[in-house]
Amino acid sequence: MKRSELSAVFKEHKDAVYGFAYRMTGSAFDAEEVCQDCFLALLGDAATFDPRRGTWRCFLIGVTRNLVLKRWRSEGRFDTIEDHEGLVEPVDPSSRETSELVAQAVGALPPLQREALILAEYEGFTLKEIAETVEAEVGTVKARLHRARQNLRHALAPLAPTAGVKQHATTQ
Amino acid sequence: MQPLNDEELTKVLSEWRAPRAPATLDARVVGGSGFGWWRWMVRGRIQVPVPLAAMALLALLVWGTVGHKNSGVGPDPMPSLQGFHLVEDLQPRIIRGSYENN
Repeated sequence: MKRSELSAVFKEHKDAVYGFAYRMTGSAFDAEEVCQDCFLALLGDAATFDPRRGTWRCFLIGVTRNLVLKRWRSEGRFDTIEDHEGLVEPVDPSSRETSELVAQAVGALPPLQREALILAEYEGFTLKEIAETVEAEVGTVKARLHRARQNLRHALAPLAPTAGVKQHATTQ
Repeated sequence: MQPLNDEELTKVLSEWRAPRAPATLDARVVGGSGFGWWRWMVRGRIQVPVPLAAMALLALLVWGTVGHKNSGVGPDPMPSLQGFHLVEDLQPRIIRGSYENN
């Protein structure tokens, strides 16, 4: 890919890729690093886009996802990046604002549940698109997504309107 | 505590908005295209294999120690006074200039 083509792709998809990387890593610094690696990979042979296999957005999110997992592995962030049950502790609604509590709860999900939830909930991917992105069966993705939502239902329960949520925080 | 239902969960999740890509990312990805070599001179990195780096370091140390000893370069020694004699019979001769006669 030429620099001029990269520039066009970058301009159109940078916010989506950065947003995904930010939600996955929970860090602005890491998101920027990963995002840079993702786009610069297009200049070499490391990542080649094939329009028959999906959209640019799906492709870039897939590359970003792989870079995030690679980073986690190299940092030894998780004992294992495999499917496992991991219960997220309920958040404390008095400590922070809603958006921060949601970020905290999503960030506490096991990695594969987290990516499935972020792709479905925030990127609007279909089950099939998620399955292609994470290289898993649709059924597996469905199960991860179910577990992730189940986990968050409990973890974020203190934010329910009936539980006295700080509504001022959610309306900003 | 009662878990959130689907609708509540979706609503709560939507409160978390990701920031837009920072301007620094533009500079890092597409901003560097026009000024390659000097940018590399300032911010570039090179990777050197450890054995090569170790050999280079060793060679530098050897050159620094052995080379310094053999070079003989150092402060100038004191000049020798051997063969120096005092003048025994000093006979000064005064030569006057012609202008003194006028």
